[in-house]
Amino acid sequence: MTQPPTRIADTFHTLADNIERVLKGKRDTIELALTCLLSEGHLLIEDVPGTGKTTLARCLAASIEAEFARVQFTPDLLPSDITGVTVYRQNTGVFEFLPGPVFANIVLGDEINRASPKTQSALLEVMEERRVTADGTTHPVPRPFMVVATQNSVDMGGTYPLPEAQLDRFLMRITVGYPDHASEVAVLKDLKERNADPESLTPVTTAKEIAELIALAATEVQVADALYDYIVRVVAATRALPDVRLGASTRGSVALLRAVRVRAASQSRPYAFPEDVKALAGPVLAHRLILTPEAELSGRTGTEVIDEVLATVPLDRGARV
Amino acid sequence: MSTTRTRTLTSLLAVAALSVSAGYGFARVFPPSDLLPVLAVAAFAPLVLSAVLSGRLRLREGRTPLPLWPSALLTVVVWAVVVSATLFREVSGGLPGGPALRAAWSALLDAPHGLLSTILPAPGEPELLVLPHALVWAATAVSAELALRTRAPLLPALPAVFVFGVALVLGADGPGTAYPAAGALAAATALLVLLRSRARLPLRATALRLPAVGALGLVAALLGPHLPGLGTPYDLHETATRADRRPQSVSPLDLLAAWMRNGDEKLFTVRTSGATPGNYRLAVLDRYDGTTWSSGAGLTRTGGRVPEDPEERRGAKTLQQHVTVQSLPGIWLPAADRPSSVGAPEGTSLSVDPDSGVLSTGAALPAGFTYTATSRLPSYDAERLRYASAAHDPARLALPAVDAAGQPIASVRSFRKIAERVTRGSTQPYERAVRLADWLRASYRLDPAALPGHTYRSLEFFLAGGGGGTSEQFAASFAVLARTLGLPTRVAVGFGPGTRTGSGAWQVRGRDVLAWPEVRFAGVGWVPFQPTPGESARGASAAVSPAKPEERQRAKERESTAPTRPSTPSHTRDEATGGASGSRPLPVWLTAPLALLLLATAYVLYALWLPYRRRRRRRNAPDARRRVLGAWQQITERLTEIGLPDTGAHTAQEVAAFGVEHMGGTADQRLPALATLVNEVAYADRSPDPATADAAWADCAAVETTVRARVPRRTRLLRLLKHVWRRPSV
Repeated sequence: MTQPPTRIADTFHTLADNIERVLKGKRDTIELALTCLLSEGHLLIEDVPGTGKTTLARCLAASIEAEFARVQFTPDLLPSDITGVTVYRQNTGVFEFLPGPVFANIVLGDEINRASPKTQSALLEVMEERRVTADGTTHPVPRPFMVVATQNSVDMGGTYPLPEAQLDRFLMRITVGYPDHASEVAVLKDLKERNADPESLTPVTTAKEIAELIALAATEVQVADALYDYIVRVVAATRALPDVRLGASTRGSVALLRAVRVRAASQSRPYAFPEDVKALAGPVLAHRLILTPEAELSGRTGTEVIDEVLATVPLDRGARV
Repeated sequence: MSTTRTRTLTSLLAVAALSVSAGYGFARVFPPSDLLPVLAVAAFAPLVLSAVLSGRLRLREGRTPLPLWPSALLTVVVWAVVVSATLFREVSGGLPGGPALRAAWSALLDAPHGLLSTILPAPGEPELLVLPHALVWAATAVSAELALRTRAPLLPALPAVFVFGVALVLGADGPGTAYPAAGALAAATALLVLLRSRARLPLRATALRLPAVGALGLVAALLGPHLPGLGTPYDLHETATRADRRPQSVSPLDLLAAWMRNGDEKLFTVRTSGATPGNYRLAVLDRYDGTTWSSGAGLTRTGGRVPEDPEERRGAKTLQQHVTVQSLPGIWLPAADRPSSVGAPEGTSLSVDPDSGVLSTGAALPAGFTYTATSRLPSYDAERLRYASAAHDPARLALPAVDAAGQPIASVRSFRKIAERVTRGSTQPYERAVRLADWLRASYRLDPAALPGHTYRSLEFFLAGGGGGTSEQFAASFAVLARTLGLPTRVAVGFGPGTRTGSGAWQVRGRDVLAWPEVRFAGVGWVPFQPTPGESARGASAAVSPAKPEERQRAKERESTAPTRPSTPSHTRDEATGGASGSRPLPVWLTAPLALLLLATAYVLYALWLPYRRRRRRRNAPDARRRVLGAWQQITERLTEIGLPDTGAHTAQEVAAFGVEHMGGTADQRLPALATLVNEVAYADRSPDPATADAAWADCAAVETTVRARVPRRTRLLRLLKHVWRRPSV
């Protein structure tokens, strides 16, 4: 039988290779998205238009044999349009709950910041507790469950910035960025062969296997006490910086740990080490920080703050002699 | 008996040893014969009390001891009972009672000041002994309770160390040394730790370190007293307000004429042994108001020791004197020169003037009063005296120059003229003093029947040739004339050796009374002169030897053949001579730079030694895992010398990448592999074998060699000095 980290790594790289067939030159971004998937977290993709945010989400869904739903967030979208609605059936005389698109394994929330705050808030419960409560009845969503949201970082007119509570529920925030020259040429060539369509991808794994791998990553990867200590010190350091009005929460520590375990497993490593923390602290923690107005005016970003923290927080002294 | 209880109870033995050792630190404060009985009681009684009251003797292992408060309460009560029944038994007939307790409490409060204002060793009086009694008792009780109720190996030693510290401070001025007590205290502390420590002491490490610690202690003990500023310990006695008693007695100089007139009156007898007896000094008068010479002595209580004058050099000749007073008015006790110790019957309150060394009882001397004194007679180096400058002592130069009405006293000017005329041509202070004495002796006659008095007018009359004088006028004239020349002078009053009455026994009568002046020279101390005719012919006193005619002649001959040295201001010469004599502390301007230099040297040595020790500790770590991590830390520290930020925030792979980028060579293969090993050891609990650890250290040595070749030695040294107190963060 394959060792758990190796099994995770095999599936991880198979998925990454599959997605990379469409989304070229973005291996790091794809791996971050897969890390988020296997950490059973939610992903926020933020970038300028046309960089492949939605494509990444669709490729992810297409590579897994799982239920996929897409919600185009618009200002007139209602909460019930996402979570579902209870209707009265005259023929049977009972109320029946009609599940919304959120009842899927992978939910793509496109342009999430275009919906009203009330509608955005409809996702709060399901993202954290993986269930929907309607008319006093709780309806669990299928596992694994992942919300992949996209938002445009320019053209902010008519948008509603995500509230802090909702941002905190995203395990990662990533950007896709422009591809390099060779990758962009390859994208153009693939248009002729119709290979650029995410629908052309065939699933390489199932939702059931993903659920198993999530459980394996959480239990089979060793984390030393020194690394727990390092994670906590990194997160705590974000709360003590003068440029930060609100640092990362404990949910941030938990998210970082889950992602660190998956990264170790994706490299067939049965243990995690500080390099994992350093590689993931930016995507996992940066969007959870609220900077001071002065810092924002001076152009500071959460990612810069995290880089500064990582450059100054010493590794655990327990490993010293 | 279980191991734990055995350990606890045996550690009480170490506590007893600690208390006795700490208490023996008071051996510089009290005579050991008085101190030891006190220690025996104070070090063992509370120990037994605590052992019994803690319940450790009867309780089984694991049971909690009895409460502390009964033990603490009874310790205080029993101390009060014991101290009433022993030290203060005479107050209330040996029974504890209000008067005895009040006396003990009052004595306890007064004892510190009493000890600080007494010349040590202090007399073994209950009022003073109560202090070590209480301190040792309390320290023993606290130590015993800590030993019985805690597991800390070293904590029970702290009270004893505190007591020893108090003893050190109080005994700073005392005779002898504190080394035996300190050594015993260190040994007892080691015994305590050995008995109570639960950690197994590695035999090899202990065998190696103990001699090193011993050698360090020896070096510290030998070098410590010679280090600038440490040679003379801080002495609270110098800052304490002494209960000086100014002598309220008729000046012996005023009695001189009366004694001479009643020449046959028996004053005292002396039984001597050792050196030949010379003059006995009774009192020293160093203040002159134009009418009377009086004593400025501040009498301080003593247990028998007379502090030495640090400037004076004592010879090897010792004179023991057993004096029996027959009829000696006043409060002063005669003794040869400056005595080194004095002993009197129990109950006598002996005082000494630390400045002059004269003795007193503070009360009139009854007939038949006996006492003993030991004097080490001074020896003077004629060559040193010849060029000695006058000491800087403004108080002993003072002469009243105006009268009560504020008018200048003409006598002073005439005295100065006489002195300058007599000493014209002489350049050295000693030669001037000798010429003065010679001139007085040659120009005036001794008249035992001369009128007493040493006022300005009496001295003017005497110097004008208006008849002879007694040694009172000769000494007083010399002193006044010498002071006008800038020579610090005082008048001593005493007696000649007397008449021999048997083997070692001498009878001193009134006719033996004598006054003589003494001049203070820098680096030499007080030197007596004999300006009185006939007195030097007695030749009985070693103290006056420098002024003997034959020696003066030799001095003159030497002066005539030696180049003339310029007469320099006395202040400068004082310091120079004092420094050369080695008896004065180093001046501040020299001490401070020396201390700084010493500190800087110690700092540099420590900075050089610290990396060596750190590397050695890492390399010799007990297991291969720690050795691998140690090698990596060593590599990381070295890489900071070539630019790796010293933040401690770099992961192993980042460090390896930095090394590969900046070093090249074999680092390309070695460092990444070693970084992986380090990650596995630190975060995956991998246990490497010793060969792997050796390989890691080989890689480390290669990195160190490369870095050493790249970084200039000066840069490395500066870095070491800069970061010596900084814990490595990498």
